[in-house]
Amino acid sequence: MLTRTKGWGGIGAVVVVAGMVLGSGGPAVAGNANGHGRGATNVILLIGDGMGQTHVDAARQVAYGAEGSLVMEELGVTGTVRTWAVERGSDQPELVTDSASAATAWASGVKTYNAGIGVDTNGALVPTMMEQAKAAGMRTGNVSTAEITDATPAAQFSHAALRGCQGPTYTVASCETLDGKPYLPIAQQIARNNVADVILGGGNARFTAEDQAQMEANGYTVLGELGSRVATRSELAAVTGKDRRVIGLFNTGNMTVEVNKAKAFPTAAVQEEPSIAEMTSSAITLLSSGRDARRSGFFLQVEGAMIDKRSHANDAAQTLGEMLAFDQAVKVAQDFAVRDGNTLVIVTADHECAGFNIIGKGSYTNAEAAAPPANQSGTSSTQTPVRPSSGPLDPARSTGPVNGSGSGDPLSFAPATFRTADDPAGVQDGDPEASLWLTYLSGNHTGADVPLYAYGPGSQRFVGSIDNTDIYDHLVASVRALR
Amino acid sequence: MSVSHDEAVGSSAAQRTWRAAYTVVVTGAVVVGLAACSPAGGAAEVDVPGVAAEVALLAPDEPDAAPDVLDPVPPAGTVELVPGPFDDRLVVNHPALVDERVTATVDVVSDVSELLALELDVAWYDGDGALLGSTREVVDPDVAEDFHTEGGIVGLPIEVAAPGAVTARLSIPVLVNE
Repeated sequence: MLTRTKGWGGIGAVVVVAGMVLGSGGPAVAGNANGHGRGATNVILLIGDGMGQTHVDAARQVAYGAEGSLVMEELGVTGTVRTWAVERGSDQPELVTDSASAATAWASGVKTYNAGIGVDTNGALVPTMMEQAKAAGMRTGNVSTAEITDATPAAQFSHAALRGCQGPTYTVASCETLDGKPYLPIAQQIARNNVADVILGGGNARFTAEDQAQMEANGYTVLGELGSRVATRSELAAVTGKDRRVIGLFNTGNMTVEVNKAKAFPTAAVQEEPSIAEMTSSAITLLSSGRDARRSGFFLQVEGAMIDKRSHANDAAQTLGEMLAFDQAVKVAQDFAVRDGNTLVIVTADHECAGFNIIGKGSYTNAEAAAPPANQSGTSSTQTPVRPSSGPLDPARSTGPVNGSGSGDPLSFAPATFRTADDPAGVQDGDPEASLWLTYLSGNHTGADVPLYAYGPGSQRFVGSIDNTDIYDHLVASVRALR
Repeated sequence: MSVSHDEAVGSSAAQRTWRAAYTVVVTGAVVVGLAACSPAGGAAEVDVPGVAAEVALLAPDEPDAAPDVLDPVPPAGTVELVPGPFDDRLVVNHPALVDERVTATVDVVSDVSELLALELDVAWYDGDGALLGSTREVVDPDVAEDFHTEGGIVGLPIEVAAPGAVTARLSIPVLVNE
């Protein structure tokens, strides 16, 4: 039985219809709008940090049901991205990447080691796409729900041997040197290098009053006070005008998870943090208006960072909330791209996080078994299974859904269960009757490929299975100002 | 499996061009390059990647040194927690001066992902408030992992030798999570 909720499904349907009516989006017109020929004027690159295929699947089931789709899934072009990094100082593949290496791959087109920001595997600085876009006259923007000095945004507008060199303080341990010269902490680089015109996110405590003075001298409008007072949604909304340069950092650290804004921390300060969709909308408005944007377009990167951070915590409820918030940012980007007709939208991830998976309703994982079965690698017979079952459920370690009856048991390895848009009324998150049973393999990244969705001029280049460094090459080939 | 150099460093023409640009010595001070950037954002005439690279390698400020003298002199046995940029992300519990060692436990509860960097500055003083010594304690992330719970890093023990100390100051200048 389908009892699809109207809210999310309705939004998705409107987006699809709008795209088709305007003749510039969706699968039906992919041949024209998504082709190579004329190239894109603008780029909006949206990164769901830690977003694997199951993150997409689960968010879809919760919001739209089995026959629905997230906004990102309706962009028209789909692909997958291989995410491996390399070991430091070599070209030996490191199969599980971190955010720094992955972001450097698409920002600079090079494979590097985990923790490297804007450097190659030997530590040599490599230019970034955002730097090149700026040099080509494009307007540039960087948005993240993490600290803006965190790896994913940092790899577009800074360089460091170790991602921990974020500031405000320089230390030898966190800011490794290159040929005897220490790196300036990432926050201080951002405040001085003029690479991004619009900077929105968290991480106010990484900056100092001196950074603020430097940025104001370089023409930036600073919302709040760097290092001492976070910016607010109201201040962001008040920024208008053309060719503006703006920095707004809305939390001392990472921005507040959307679920918590309403539930756990309903303080005035938290309520004044804009959502990722609001930041994306503001960034697009600020970047797209004015002479420079008309001449050369803009390049904007947007990161939904908390998908990863809440996956590290194996917190499925907040992970799903962040997925849906990120999808709303995708909607903002797509709406602009449909209106504009010259904007390439790319949605992808840096890596999968935590081995997120959907298991059968009522089933359980090896981690919950009384005697977890050994792997059977190399077993030759396919006729006689050597492991007919995964063993009985251990009642001491699996005591019901971790977000339901097992929530009070710290030993519980049980799945988290969620109602989907298809579930009968009355079924709640945490109920055993809920359809969606979610599990985690670990609290760390995995080496799985990640999904990619694209829309707009040049998006056909991203079809199929590509490497994360290909994103850089395909963007350079697709954007007029960078060709 | 091996990766060719071209594959490893990227192979587009634009990328090779920009990499070559990095080998060129950027003439003039960075400040000149920055000054050439229009406040309105029109930086098309500026070697933006070159300037960014120069900025990345600007000499950073050295961290503030511990004060040579404490005035007023705190009571004997005091371990003063110096306010820092990460006070809303961590809790220092039970700071104490025991047998010429500064001890405490640290909770990092704002982010439960892997701890990448945690550094502590400890300075210690004699009975007149004169500085006897200071050190930077760099926490090994692998050690911190042993104290990783579903609520973050909880109860990470800190113990720093402070020979002759009558009072001490403790600050945390570096905190980074994955």
